[in-house]
Amino acid sequence: MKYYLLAISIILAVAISPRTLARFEQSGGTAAKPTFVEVPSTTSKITWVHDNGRSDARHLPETCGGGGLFFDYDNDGWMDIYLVNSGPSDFYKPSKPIRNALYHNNGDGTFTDVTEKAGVGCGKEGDFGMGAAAGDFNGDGRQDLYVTNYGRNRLFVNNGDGTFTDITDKAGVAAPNWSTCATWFDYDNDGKLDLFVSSFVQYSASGSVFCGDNRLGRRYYCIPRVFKPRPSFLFHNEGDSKFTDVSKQSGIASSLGKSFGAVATDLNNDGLIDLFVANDTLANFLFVNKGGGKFEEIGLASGVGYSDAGSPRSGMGVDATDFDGDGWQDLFVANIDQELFSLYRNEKDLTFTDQAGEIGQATRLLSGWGLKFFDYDNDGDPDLFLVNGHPDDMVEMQVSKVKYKEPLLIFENVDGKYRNVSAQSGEVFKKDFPARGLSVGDFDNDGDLDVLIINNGDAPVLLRNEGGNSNNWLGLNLVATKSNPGAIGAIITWTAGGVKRSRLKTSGGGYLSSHDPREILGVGRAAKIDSVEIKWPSGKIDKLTDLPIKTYLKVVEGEGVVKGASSAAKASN
Amino acid sequence: MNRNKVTNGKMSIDPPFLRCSLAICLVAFGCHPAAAQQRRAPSVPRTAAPQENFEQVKEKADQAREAGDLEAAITLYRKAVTIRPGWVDGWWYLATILYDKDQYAEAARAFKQTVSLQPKVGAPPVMLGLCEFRLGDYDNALKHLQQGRRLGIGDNQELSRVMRFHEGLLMLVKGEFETAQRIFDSLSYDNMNQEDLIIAHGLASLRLAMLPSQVNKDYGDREVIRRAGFAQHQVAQKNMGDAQREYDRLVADYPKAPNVQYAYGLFMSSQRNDEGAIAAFQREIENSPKHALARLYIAYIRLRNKEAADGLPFAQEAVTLHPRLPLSHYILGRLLFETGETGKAVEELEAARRLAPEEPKIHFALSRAYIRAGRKKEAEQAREIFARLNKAAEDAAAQGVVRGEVIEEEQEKAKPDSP
Repeated sequence: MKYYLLAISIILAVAISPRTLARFEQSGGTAAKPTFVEVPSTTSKITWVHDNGRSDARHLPETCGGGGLFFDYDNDGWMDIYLVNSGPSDFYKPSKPIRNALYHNNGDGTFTDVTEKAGVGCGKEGDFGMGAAAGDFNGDGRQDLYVTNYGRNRLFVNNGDGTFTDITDKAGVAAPNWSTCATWFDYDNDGKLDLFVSSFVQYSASGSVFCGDNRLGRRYYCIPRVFKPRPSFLFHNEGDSKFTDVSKQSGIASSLGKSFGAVATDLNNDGLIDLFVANDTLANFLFVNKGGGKFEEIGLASGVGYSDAGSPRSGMGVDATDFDGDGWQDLFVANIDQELFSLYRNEKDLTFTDQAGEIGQATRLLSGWGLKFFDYDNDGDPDLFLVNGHPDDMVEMQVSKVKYKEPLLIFENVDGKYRNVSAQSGEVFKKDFPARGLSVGDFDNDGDLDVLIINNGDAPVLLRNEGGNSNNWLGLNLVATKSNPGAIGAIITWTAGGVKRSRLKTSGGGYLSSHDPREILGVGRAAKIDSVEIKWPSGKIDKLTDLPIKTYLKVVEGEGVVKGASSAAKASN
Repeated sequence: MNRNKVTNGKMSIDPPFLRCSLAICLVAFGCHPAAAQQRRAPSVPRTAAPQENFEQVKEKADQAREAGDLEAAITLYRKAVTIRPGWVDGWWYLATILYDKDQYAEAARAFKQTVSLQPKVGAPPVMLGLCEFRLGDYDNALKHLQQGRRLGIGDNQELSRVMRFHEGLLMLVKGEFETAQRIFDSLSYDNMNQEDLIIAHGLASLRLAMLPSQVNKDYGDREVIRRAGFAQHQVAQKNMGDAQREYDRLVADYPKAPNVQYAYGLFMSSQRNDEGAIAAFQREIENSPKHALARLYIAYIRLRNKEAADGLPFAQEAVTLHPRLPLSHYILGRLLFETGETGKAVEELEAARRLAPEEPKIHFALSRAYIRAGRKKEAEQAREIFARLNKAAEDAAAQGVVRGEVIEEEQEKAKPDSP
């Protein structure tokens, strides 16, 4: 027996690196993993339901919504929720009023519908909603709201008194026809948030195509290949609530796409934010920011445009993170069933290699939309949450193994490899959903990230993360003074228990949604955080020491931690 | 003109495809060459022949045609186009009447004149192709049918179906079973259900390079061909429950018939049932030990599902069995790439490229392999060729060119009504 134990010790000593061992110890060894628990609407008081406007004519926009987000519109330190619905359009005349919804977080696990007062319900002609993105475009410290539609988009400025004003026309950001995802980021590092808006296909009720069963006269949703592609939009923030459409001169409009998810991140570590954009039935775009307001599309050359077989896929949700901790942003794209999802490792020369591994197998029969890298167990590395659902509600009549409603998935990052831990992560992973949007945020301020799922034609699902805060953490609310208000592009480096980690603050990611803007730094079992360094997009660096744990801190660019100004976090674990 | 006589017994497909007179039908649907000429072409140069003589003959010819006196009409139209060789309508009427009377050789010559006079109109080359099909001149028939499709034949659904069916038959004869299958699928999807179409489906499914007309009532394997065709017809009509039942019964009744298990495997694969598909392909290999495609499909499923090592032996056997098949080298090359044998992968992909230099996906795979091999310049060249060929393939697809592949790597989803 002694010899047996000795052998095990030797094997462990040889096989486990000091870094791995430190992480193992920090993560609490065999401690129980967090689970996600559904918060019923009777508890949350969120009664809004998505209406996809499904018709016998099977109009394509019916398949794509909706989105939503966590954001703190009233700066009370609690994440509120905004949900995007369909609405009147050239093919849909709802029999009863349909609107988006803003829910105020009461801080006690319940929400109150404040849509009417806030004035963000939309619901007018041209408001067949897709998604939304929050961002403080005017730098007044309040989160504004951009809503994408099949029809005409809307920009709502936050008045600071619980109301919003629609300034779309003044701002010049309507981007008509069919927009899907919107992403706030500062492409020219002028300290203001610019706006990228994905355009999907050229579509109209009058130009609709019959796709279906001629014999029975039954229609299916058309494959987007049938429709013409369109250029996406890039709007430059001029200040004074005005934007200039720079789609053409920037090079963005040169690439015609059928675009869904977009994520803004720095892929070549040059301090300029690039864009990765998923396309449906066309090659994905990788827009590299060349500086001087110009982008170059290098999807094919970079290896993220096509499948391994050289085929364009049906890209939907995307995200970016440094999953292997090498200091370079990697990419993810979810596709339709049988196409496999891709995890693209950054090879540090603007080329990428698909390393999907276990994710590929687990998603072979699934169609992915919302997705997000986040550290669900606060062990310090980014895990991955995926929500799925086939776009065609009649797919089961055609392919017996593919379902319309599909399960959620969560993958844990174990030393740079993703392991499917869905089965151990809660009863909700045994259920199927027609999921589309996904937003991540700590709505109960307990230090672990929760999840909001927006279902197509169904009620949203709010999931509370139970146990993610059993590991130690520190939440940061970054307040820029010179950099863009979202601090998009900031690099946060933290050290705890001898392990140094870093994270680049991205924007967008997922599908039709944006996320809690705060950053939660997980440190596993480490009792304290030794240091945090924030390199702001402006180049300014703030170094923080003597930090508490299990709380949120407000960090102001150039000033560091603002004493007594932490958020309303209760660290209620 | 006897409208009912026009196509009876001429197309190897049920008469409803071309129930009305081709001439009347084409005029009614805007495919009449003169109508198109008014829209698109400059006026046809006229000869110096006496005007009154031509007009008299033309009038008599039209009268004879309208009276149904086709022999007289032929004689008069011949005379008229001799006087005025640039008279498009004359050639067109002469050609269609000759076609109606089974005089395909002369009809073909007259359609050629129409084509040369109106090179931008689609119906004449389609009709020329149909004549050539009747004459057994399959290469030219295919060329002219495709030319006509590219030029467009307006909204003439009847002619479109005849054109597509014959293009499918010609693909069948050439042994391009996947392309033929896709064309027949589109006809079934359009609710065609004639017996000849069912038989054509069966021939494509069982990879038999024959025409339906050769599978007569006494043909020994007619029943298995018909049953396989009916199963595939159900797939094409999206009746998946019926398709599953028909395929299950087919393999139960004909478990050893060549290519039945292979066809079943393809169906199972389309249903995302990979293990069922692999089992069917393995049964096909037992039935037909030299079946390269069944091996290739197993290899491809393993490749697609990131199980490259499991797919390698099947691809290697396929290459041995069918060294002239580009797909064998392509799949093997990709499997070798995935298993880290970059040098061998390059060799196989280059072999595939030699055999099919116009296939974009081979260049795409090569670009990846060259990158890993550190051959950056060649990688860039391969990527550029891929981009060019891929664009051409997309443009061709947008023009309605049907191109079936042994292994379809893109998902089949709901398609528009019109092909």
